[in-house]
Amino acid sequence: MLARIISEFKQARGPQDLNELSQRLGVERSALEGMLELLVRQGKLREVGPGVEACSHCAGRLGCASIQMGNLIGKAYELVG
Amino acid sequence: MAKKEIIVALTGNPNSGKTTVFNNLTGAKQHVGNWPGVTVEKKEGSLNYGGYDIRVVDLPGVYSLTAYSLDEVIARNFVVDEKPDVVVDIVDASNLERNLYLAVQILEMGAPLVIALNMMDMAESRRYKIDVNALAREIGAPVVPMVANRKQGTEGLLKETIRVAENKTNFATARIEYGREVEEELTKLEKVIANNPLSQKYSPRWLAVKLLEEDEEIIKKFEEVEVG
Amino acid sequence: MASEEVLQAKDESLAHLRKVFGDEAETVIADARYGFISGLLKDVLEKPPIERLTISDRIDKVVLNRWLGIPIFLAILFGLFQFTFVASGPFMGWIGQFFGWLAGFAEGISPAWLSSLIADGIIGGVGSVLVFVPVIFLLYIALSILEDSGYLARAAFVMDRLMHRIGLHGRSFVPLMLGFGCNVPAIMATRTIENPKDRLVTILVNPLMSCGARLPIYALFAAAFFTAYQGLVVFSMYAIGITLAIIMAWIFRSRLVKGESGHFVMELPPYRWPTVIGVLTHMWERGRVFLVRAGTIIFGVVVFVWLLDYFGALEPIGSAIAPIFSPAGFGQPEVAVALIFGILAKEVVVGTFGTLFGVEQGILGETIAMQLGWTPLIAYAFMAMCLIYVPCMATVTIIRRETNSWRWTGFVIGYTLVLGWIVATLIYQIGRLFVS
Repeated sequence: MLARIISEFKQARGPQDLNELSQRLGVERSALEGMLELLVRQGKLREVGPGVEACSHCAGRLGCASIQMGNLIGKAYELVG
Repeated sequence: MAKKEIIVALTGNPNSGKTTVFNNLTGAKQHVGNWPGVTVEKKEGSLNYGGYDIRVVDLPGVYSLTAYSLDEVIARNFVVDEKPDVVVDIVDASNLERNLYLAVQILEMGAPLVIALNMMDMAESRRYKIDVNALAREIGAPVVPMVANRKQGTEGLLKETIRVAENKTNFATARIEYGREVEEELTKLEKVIANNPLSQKYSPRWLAVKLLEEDEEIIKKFEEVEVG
Repeated sequence: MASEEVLQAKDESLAHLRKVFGDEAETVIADARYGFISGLLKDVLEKPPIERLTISDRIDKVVLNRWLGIPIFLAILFGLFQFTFVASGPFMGWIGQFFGWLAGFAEGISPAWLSSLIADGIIGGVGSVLVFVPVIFLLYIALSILEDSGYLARAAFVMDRLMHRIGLHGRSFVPLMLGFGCNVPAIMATRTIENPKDRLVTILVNPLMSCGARLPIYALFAAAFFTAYQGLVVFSMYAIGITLAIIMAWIFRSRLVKGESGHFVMELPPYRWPTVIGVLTHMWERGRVFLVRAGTIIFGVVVFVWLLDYFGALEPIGSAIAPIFSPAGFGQPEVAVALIFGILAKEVVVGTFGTLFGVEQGILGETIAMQLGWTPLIAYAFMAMCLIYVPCMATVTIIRRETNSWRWTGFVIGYTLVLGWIVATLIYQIGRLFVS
């Protein structure tokens, strides 16, 4: 199953959403999340999460607030290497 | 002669209702502290039932028992070092596939397991049908259906817990097989481990599996062993 | 060491298993556990034949559909602008009248230059931008609702699918979408893109995503020249921006060497009802920036423009540069000046017009139409120019920092300038053939 997940990543033709993947693999969604986390811990996948560095820029240090990526998107997983 | 005190460890995934079960069991007689040397909260409680003093230890909610996180190490160490009389795993019945991963790892440790199959109402609302008897038989441990937030199932859980503590269950705990090649290596490793002092404290097969998983904590334990 | 034998045996076993499976033993063991569970559940668990879809899933079936996804996104975006302009109308009227009154008041002040500075320079310059506060804030409210409800994540997913077909395999659309607020944090957000080539391309096209500072420009001219169709016209600007971003991304991607591509799996956050407090908070966080900019950068630049104008230094600059824009229909000195100073901050384009024409706010647009002899076509070409040409100073700075290369920074400035000119000119010249 874990190897199947990796091959899904490799063969993917575009971003996939977790629900779609879990339906395709026939695995419960929460179980799939567990497997993805295991793969992250093993270093095969990488979490691409929210949490962009704070900006210390902006003419006048206005503390730009458009960085609400936590609301905008959930977690994403990416193949390593 | 019947034991007067039983120590029960509660485990389970986060959000499986473990805290509710803990509260149902221990009511007001709870006591919060810290696990030694760390800032992780340790909850203990007690109750009397069936002629026993039952001490319940709430282990941190975890998804598995690896060495990757402090919570998991704490939970695992309590089971293999303190050797509680019973380990109750709270399993979310509507998320079996994920929740059972922990149960499987507890079985690997050879700990006396009772599965509290919680959130049966959620499973029912999704129209899942769970054959509780078949589950108990194949896993080799009693399975107690519960709906903890409606306070249902607590008595059944206590009864089975005591039966396991008294060694009066008729289940043969399941043995997980990892495939021929892995099993061959495990056998080889177990032979070598038998000569090591650690095999007195922990099951050689479990140690072998952990070594193949390159479990940091176990490797460290081996490195710290001193010759007699 | 006592356990040497054990640890060595472990290493040998691991090496052997690695060879046999081409994978770590840990993975094989984890798989075996899942296999056990899976087999177990086949005997023990019976799920209903059709797992009842949640409402969330049903919405997603439509919204993420391969064919419907993007049209739905565009439709929602269009609705956003319609709402914004319809609702902001009355407010803008009031604010315009207020500044008009204020300017009239200032005209009575004693030294003539001071009166001009205040009435034309400050009130004219900053006021002409502040008039659009209702538009900005309403837009941000709508954006926040979309964001908090969870839909925006789906939009990002759908667009990312499109970007994937272009060759951008990372999560590039989210940083692009952030550009709708401000391009600076948007470009910083590209740090989440692992592949350096994908990341670079996302940075290069980011300025084409219309930031909040350009909205006053669109709003001004859309209201003046396309009154009934304001929402549509502004929406078309954003749509052109997105389309150009995609096209340029495709061009850049195919000219740069193909790097390793990452495919990703994304967890979409659950849908939820936005809360009033949440929406207002987000609106304020973004809108606040607009207000602060108005009071600082815009204020400063506009006063500087007034100074130049007062001492007659503006005319030569404007006249020298203006001819470049004749093919695009807006080759007037005032316009050239506005575009030049717009490089410092895009709102300044509006602010400069306000200062130069120093006129009652409500009708700045009409004034421009009369004094410069603009037609709606010219206005549209000009808006396109503002959409595309040169990122603002802050954005240029951040591009330089994030790409760590003067070459790429210069490239961005260059290509956007050229592209802007080309597009504006094309719009004007081709449009002229159709419009009498």
